[in-house]
Amino acid sequence: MQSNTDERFFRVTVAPLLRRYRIVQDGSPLRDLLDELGPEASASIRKALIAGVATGQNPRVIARQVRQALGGNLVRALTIARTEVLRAYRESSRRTYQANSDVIKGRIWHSALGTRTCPACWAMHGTFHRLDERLDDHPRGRCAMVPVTKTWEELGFKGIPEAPPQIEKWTDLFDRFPNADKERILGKAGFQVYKAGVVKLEDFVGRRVSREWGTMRYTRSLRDILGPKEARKWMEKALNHPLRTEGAPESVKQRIERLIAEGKKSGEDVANAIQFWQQRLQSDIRLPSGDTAQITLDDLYHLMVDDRILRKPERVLQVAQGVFEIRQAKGERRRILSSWVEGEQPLYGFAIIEPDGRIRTMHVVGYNDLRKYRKETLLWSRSEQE
Amino acid sequence: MVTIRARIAWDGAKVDVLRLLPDSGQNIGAEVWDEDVTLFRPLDADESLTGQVVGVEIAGFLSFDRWNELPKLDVLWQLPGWKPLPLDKLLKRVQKELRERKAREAA
Repeated sequence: MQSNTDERFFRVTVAPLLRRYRIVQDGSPLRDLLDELGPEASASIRKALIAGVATGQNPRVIARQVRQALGGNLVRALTIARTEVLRAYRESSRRTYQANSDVIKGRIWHSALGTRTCPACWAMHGTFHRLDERLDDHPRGRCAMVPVTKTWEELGFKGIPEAPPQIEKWTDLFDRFPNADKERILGKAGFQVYKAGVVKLEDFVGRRVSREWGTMRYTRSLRDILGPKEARKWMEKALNHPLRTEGAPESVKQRIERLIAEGKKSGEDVANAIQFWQQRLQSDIRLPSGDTAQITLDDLYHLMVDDRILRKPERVLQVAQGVFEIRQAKGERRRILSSWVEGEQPLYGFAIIEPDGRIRTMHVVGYNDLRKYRKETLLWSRSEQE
Repeated sequence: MVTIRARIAWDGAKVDVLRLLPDSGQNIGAEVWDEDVTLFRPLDADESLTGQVVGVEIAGFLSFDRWNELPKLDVLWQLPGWKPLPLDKLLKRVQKELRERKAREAA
């Protein structure tokens, strides 16, 4: 019986709102967003949203239906489904309250108050709002509204004990949370600043105004609240080490691209190496031992650290094909020791094969260098095969 | 004492090969120090190693602890925004930061 009533409520109240205010209406921000995906995808998502809301489906179920139209992006699908379904429910509730404004005078913002609740929503919990204000939660927000009825006295009845809604103050609950949970909500630095009394939770509440989407609450950053210098001081204190942007590790690819941009490395050498990789190294490389190894384009950037390889990328293949010994390196890795001849000059090199067959370390070295790996267990030797 | 301006290249805990490389972009070649450590020196026109060590590569850096077995080099290393440091001190500090980073990412 209850489910029939609920279904009728959704069909009669929520679905038309969703259709009228968010989905079907040309020029609505959501419609514009969906139409960017193409007419078929847009129509299929709108259909799934309207049907899902009308039948009271969980946003996860709706998200699975619209995922395909979004090219398999479940996160985006969930964001749209959750945000729009909850927006439709909230808006239908608010309009119901408005339609009953003779007894309902406003509503209270009610947050989930958990470790996944953002600081802004924690601080908004329990705040009173007029009925003409929408609940402007952020995307994927889970906040709800609790209607506030007029007092008996406001309704013209005197002498009747009042029974206002019992909403627990967020401060009471937040103070009972263990520090680890407070840190999860506010972040390390945010918690330190809050604990020191430098900011109140309310300071984290920001409000953006978008011409398309209207207003939206969000959590302000410490930088925004305290200013960059003060925020940096608290971040460093919380992390217990100085914040660095300069000198931070970069990937080998970032390093090479930066050196080229700064004119310290030849872009031509790198382009040649990439061309060689495209022509000769993309597919599996077969070693004399019968094993295979792989070098992805990302792996190639590791190998290009050694300029004797960067300037002559064909040596990657020579190291791989000139293997004369394979030794056991640390962590299930194998080290290949190689030799080959260029002109009349014998050359030597080594590479490390990761457990997954990838090669991210390779160098051209001297013959005596290879003797330093004698401590490693011999797994395969060309001389034993001959 | 000579100071080498350098940068750290590190592609995450899975690969875990740390490279301390000169910021000059000069051509460098490798020389094996031991099974975990490779050194880099400048290359001349004939591709021969020349001059002092200007870079270091350590495989399995997050668990590396043989600090006393690193080469004793008469140079200091300076990362952008850092003061010049001897090799072992700089690498220990970098290792601490990268371990913390790994722990943060795991959390």
